Amino acid sequence: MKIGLIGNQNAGKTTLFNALTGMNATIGNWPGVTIERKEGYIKGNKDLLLVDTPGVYSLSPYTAEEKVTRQFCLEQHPDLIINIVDATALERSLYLTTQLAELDCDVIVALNMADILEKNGITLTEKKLEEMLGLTVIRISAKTGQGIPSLVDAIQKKTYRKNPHLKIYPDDIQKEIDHIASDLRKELEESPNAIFGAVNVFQSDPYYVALSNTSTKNEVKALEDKYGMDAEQIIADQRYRFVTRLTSACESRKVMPESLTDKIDRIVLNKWLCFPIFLLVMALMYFISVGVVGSLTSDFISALFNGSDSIEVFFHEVPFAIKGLGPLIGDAILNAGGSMWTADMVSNGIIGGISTVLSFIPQLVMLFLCLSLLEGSGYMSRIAFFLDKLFKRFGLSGKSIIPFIVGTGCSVPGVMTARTVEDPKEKEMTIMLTPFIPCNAKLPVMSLLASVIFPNYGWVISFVCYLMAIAIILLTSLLLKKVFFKGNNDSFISELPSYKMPSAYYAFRDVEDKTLDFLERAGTTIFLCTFLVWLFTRFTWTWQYVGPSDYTDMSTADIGSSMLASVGKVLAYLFIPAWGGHYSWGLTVSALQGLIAKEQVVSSLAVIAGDNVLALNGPFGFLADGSAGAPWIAFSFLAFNLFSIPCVSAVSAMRRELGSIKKLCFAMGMELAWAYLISSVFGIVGWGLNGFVGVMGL
Amino acid sequence: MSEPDETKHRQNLKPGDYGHLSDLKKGQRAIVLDFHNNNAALRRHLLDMGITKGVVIEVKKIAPFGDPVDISLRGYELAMRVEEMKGIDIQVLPENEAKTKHV
Repeated sequence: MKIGLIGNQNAGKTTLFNALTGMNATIGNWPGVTIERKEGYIKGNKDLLLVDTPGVYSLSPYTAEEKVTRQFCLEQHPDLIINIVDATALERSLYLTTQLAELDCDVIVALNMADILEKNGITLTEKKLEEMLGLTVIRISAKTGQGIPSLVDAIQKKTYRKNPHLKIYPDDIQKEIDHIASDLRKELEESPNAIFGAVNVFQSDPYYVALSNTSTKNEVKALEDKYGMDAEQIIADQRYRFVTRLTSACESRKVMPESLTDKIDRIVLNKWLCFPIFLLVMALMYFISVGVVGSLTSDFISALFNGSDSIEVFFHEVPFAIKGLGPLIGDAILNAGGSMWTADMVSNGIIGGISTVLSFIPQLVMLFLCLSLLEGSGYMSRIAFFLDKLFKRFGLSGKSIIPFIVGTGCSVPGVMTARTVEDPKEKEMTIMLTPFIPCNAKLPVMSLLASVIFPNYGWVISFVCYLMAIAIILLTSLLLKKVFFKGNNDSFISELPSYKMPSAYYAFRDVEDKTLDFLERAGTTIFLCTFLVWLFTRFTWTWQYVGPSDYTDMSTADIGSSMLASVGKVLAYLFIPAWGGHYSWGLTVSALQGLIAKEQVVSSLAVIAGDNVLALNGPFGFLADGSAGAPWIAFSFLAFNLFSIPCVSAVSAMRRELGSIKKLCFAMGMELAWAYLISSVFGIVGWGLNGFVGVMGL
Repeated sequence: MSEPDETKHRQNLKPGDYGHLSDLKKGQRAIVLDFHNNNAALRRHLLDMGITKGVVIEVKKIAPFGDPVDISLRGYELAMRVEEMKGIDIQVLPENEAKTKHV
């Protein structure tokens, strides 16, 4: 038996789905968390398949979510629909019920949020509602589990009412709909959902008009004139009239004093306080995850795998001598008579790759936890609410801020959180723009080059980089809005949910879910690509090993004859303007490796320069030789790394969220174009300051 | 009934005055007379959300920079952009009237 779970956004669908199936889907206290359809069997019932659907307010054919849910109802032929209804917003919720009741499918109405009805001053007689609707009504609380056994019982024993197809319209409209419905039954072979179809033919729904030959123009026109509104308005109006009759008979509401949510909102949404509070919350979140957890763990984890003499904790060098897993195994291989390249592969290629992935995890977990709490509490919706006006000017949504903030940590979860932006254009733009934000992994590149450009004011460069990122994002979004995503996209219609104490259980399950997702998706890609970079920097085209003769000392390697270097030697011609008139395959190769993972950039520079600890000298001396152009050229290299294609993990996340290779290529092309343009401008300025001498290094 | 101008913003509407939903101040209530929106999808969405002729809407919260606005209707709250609210014609209701619905 196939059972569809259908309801409004934020009605508690996912919580009910989890309670019924025992599975763990992501829950948020903001509308639109379920984007894809999820399926699972009801606990202990291998024959009851439950299908979760995106939250909708109507089965109209317009938004992506509505299309998915409507398609499910019409084409997947569910045997039963559980219509989850937010009992605290009964009137709006039952509007969807009137549409579901027109389908040729039985419907159980699950009145959710039973536990907070009283607190909201609402009393409900569900028996009366059941009589008037003709559908089985069961009062539940998906959160506390109240009423769920009786829901499962009704499904198992099929004790629910058969859908009676109530007539809810006035006689003249009902007559027309019945007429169309009987025609549809003849016209459509299997004639499913004739009443639903008829109502949609009446409203000139393009899908159904194409299916039916019935000419209804004159009759509908006459009714439109009589009611003084068009057919779509008539149907919506009549549905709501029916619903209002139900609610006024079944529901009574006490006038409540100002709710706690309203009181909190008076402070949080205050004109003068909203920004300071927002900045404080963000700073706190960032401080906890990156500042505390990140700085405590990432160096430590890296040391465990790769070995070290000291690690950095809270920006202080702490002695921490450890051999590390990689060197241990590498030495074991050598002692057992293994070749140098095997030791190099295992130690630097494989274990190095694993440590890159794992060193991210602790701060990512903390970041996910903070975000989950922000979502669960309802504050995230407020951020989107008060920033909307600002972002709308640039063709973005207030919700775009969340991916951008998350993106300062890592673009992968940043791109993933963009799914909560409703408008498809705003969502795509947000996905494409998020990688421009300098992420954690770009910090080492930034701090290295900043120390070269402005030895004593490195932080100024970091600050300038963030400002440039913001400027690029705003410029690009304006450009995209004007050129590629034309049209009116003013459609911010969303709810401000009540503040809730976030559930610790669900927060932890959510974090677990996202972390595993990151490990699986980004982890495997990062690992694979780190390994590929290892391969291409260690071998020539004829598979001769040119790696280090001592695998722990990279300065003994001859990267210059590797495959990657030969590619870099060709591409370096393209980068002559960007590198300020210098032909440098070393910089080019390092920038190329940055396209795979930004962590690689600094270590690649070090390896090519033949140093384990990088001071910009040797082949990269022109970045720091004290000439007037040098800081400009150094900044050009930095800018290319900051604004080009983020890294393979972010690209794979973008591909998944954009859902189209074409759009992904567009986004990557745009990023490359920006990076090349900006770095060329800075590079040429640097070249000019150095007097436009001929190309160096050729 | 005098039709409100297409776009003009009217300030300080008093009970009984005609205007657009976007003209209301925080705490004011009004009854919807008609609405127009050139975007078919958006228009249908507004209808689906219960913004039909005769419904009573109260302005609950206005975002710090004036847009969007959180309104309450049919026993729930909804945030929408001022741009959409300009297309909704209303008549302002007295503030102290009992909160019953006009359908």
